[in-house]
Amino acid sequence: MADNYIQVNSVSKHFGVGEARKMILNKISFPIEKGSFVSIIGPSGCGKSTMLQIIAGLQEAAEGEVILGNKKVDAPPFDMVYLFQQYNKSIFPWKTVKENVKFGMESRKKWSKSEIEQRSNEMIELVGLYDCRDYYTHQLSGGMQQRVAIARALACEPDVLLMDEPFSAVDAMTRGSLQDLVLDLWTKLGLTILFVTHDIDEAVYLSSRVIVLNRAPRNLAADVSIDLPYPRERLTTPEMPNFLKYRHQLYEEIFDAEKRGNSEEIMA
Amino acid sequence: MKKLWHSRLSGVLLIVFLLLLWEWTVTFGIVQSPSFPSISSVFKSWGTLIVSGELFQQLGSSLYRMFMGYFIAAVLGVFFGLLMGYYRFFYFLLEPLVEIFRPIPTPAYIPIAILFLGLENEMKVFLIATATFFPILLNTFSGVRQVDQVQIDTGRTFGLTSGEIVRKIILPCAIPHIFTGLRISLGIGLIMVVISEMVAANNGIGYFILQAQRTFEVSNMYAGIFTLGAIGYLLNVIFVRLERKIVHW
Ligand SMILES: Nc1ncnc2c1ncn2[C@@H]1O[C@H](COP(=O)(O)OP(=O)(O)OP(=O)(O)O)[C@@H](O)[C@H]1O
Ligand SMILES: [Mg+2]
Repeated sequence: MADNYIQVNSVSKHFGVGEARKMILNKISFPIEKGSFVSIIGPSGCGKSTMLQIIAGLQEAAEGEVILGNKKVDAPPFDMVYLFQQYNKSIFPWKTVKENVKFGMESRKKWSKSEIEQRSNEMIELVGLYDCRDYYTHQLSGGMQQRVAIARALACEPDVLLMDEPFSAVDAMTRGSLQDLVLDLWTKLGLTILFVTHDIDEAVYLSSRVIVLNRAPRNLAADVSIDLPYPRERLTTPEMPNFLKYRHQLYEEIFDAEKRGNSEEIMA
Repeated sequence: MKKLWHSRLSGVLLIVFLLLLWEWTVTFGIVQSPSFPSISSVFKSWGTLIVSGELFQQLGSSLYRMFMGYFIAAVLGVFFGLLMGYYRFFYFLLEPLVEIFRPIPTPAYIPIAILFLGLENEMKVFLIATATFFPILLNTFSGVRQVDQVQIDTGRTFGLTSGEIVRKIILPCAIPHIFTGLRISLGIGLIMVVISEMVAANNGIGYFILQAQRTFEVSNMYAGIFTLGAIGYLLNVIFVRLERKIVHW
């Protein structure tokens, strides 16, 4: 049990009552090591966002608990930030791009005014929005809005970053450079990242570990360590035999999980 | 020619036409009544009142009362609206009270207000504040209720305290609704100031109109009413400008 920074302990969650009661998470447990980059993949609606929001202290588990460090999470912890899947609802329409990015840092109260100014500019530059820094969010495309949300979260350098499908709306080129940006910051700052994606290649490319989730009752379908060297290289890493092996394995796990899930649903 | 009917000019022309109609009904003797002076004499009186400064004095007293009441209502309405919208406790505590008092037309309080506050400004400010309070409260409340949970949770995940969430997220989210309430109340404030001045006052535009009628200065009476129209229009224009400036996104 080396450095189990986050411990998810038999967390259950359901929505609705009576007839409509639906089990989403069923006694799911897993540890997250400090400094790891863990991707979570799984079919739509299996509870990935719910899981992350419980870890983030934004939703309450019905049963079980999440431990961060050695404290139970019962409110959003100070050094953890959840990056919403609904990026367009999460950014503030009355703020410009720059004001939005500053918002995260200002609320942390960790930096001086001039530091915030400088860092926000850098971060906006890194996500490629420097020319639009004074735009209001309704003047941006979906992919640009998503990058505002990313920049805002990255800028405040939380110890733990929970990213919920953060690149879903950006084009392939931008996605590549954002992946490298996140990897770069992760290496430099020693963050712990939980990263939800539907893209297996992305999961393998970025992660030190991939968790495959499934619909309840058996949520945890697979847990795969990715032993590929860092820094990952855009061209060479995906060509490594091991990369292909993991990719293959994960595809199989996901399809297996899907099949198992379906038959269990039929039996239930 | 076709363009004319698709521009604002047509509306202005209609007003000019109606004023001319008014003038002719009097000059051609179609309507003959001391209560119905020609529009030209109304404008003449209006001009005299403006030049002498009397009108502005009356208007000043009215606007002072109105904005005192309106300001109090705005502060309290926004404050309690935020409280009731964000904290369920305050909603359950205050909602029944609001629902009991809201349907009562404010003029019904005039006798009580006179008993407790007398005939001076306090009474009028109280009535104006009471009448303008509810639209501001209710619009603020509904503005807060429709704030997306994701916006609130964004504040929480970035470590905002609940006070900061109200100030930095709920308030700006609800601002457009708050302005709707404020604009509705602006009209109501003007109504209330006139009513309260007609009931008991020795200055103000409501008093002036009533007094003109009682002393048979009929064209002054009409001039007073026109003044209210003009000031109502002007206040609304200023308000909309301000709103556009603040709710700029
Ligand atoms: N507030 C809620 N009320 C009722 N049901 C909910 C609520 N939030 C989520 N659910 C249900 O919980 C399930 C899991 O939702 P969740 O958003 O966690 O899925 P997900 O794995 O993130 O899916 P996706 O990949 O599509 O984002 C879904 O079936 C959803 O309908
Ligand atoms: Mg999701």
